[in-house]
Amino acid sequence: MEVDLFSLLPEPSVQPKIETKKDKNGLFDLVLSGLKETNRLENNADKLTQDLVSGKLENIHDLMIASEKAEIALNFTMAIRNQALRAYQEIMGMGR
Amino acid sequence: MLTGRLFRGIDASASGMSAEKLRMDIISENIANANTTRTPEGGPYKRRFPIFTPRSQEPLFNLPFIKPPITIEPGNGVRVLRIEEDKTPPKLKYEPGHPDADENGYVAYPNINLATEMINLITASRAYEANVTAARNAKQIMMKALEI
Amino acid sequence: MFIDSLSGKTIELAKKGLDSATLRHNVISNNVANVNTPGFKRQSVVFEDALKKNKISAKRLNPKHIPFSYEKNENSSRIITENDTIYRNDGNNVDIDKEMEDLAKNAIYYNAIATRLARKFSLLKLVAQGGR
Repeated sequence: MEVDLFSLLPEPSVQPKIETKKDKNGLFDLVLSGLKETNRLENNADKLTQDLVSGKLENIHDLMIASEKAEIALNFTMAIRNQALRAYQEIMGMGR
Repeated sequence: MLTGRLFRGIDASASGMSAEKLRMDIISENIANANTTRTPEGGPYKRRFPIFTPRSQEPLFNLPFIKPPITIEPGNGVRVLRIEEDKTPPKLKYEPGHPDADENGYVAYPNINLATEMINLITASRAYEANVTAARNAKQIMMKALEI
Repeated sequence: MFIDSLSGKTIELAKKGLDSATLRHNVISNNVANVNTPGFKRQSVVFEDALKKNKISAKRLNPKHIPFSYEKNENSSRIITENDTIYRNDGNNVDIDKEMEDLAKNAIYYNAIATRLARKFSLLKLVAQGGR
């Protein structure tokens, strides 16, 4: 059963209504693409874990590497996400 | 799952250990019976030896663009095909007073050469230890991988 | 993007190195297990650096041409059977001392890569957490 990391994210209380151009490198886009990659890495690590338990895994280092990559990606994405949220909250607080 | 693909190397080494241990047991039996002139089946003890053959896990399939000697999967160690009797004729010694002497006074002794058996024993023993080293190695590198 | 460094050359090459070393270990173990098998020919593993391969790969001019099998080989290691080395009487060409030597060298190779990878991941984790 694949875990979708998107479902673990808390929803921001207000959806940003700011119109941005299709800026691929905007902060939120970065977070989004980071999440996708993180999701992919975690699912890959899960698949390899299943292979290990079922006896299909050939190289133990494949699992260890995948697991480390997933953890690092998640750490990083969470850090970025925290920063993005903080930046967003600061911006939203500017008008008051 | 102790026989999964993860443990190929260790399985191969384990098979080597089993095979060499069996060989050593057979050699010990040969040596112990080097002077056995009478067996239940009649005649002197006959030297025995194992036939080893490589053990492979999956059959190799033919890929059209790849010519030998490139193979895809490594083998999976060794197994004992069967234990053969040495068909060399027994050694005849002239001992007229021996209960097992034939009408000409010759006694048939087992076709065992102790020097050969000893050398084979040493060879098997070395091979056994080499397999142990390989298995120990396999375990060490896998444990190292767990630290990644 | 930081995450891209997770798929960078170093880690991928290190993983391929470990793959190759694991395969080599299994092949050596098989050689050792068969040291007394009549007619057995020893095998060895060749590690082709994927980067080197790309520099001299052949190019198809038309996608409809049959692809070169060289390009399609995803594994960067190959097993080679040595059919032409000196035999013992029974046709077996395994030299137990050479196998032991290769085994030791391979273990060092594996350990070096694994240690380096572990350290790299620790470093990346530290960076990823942003010092928190």
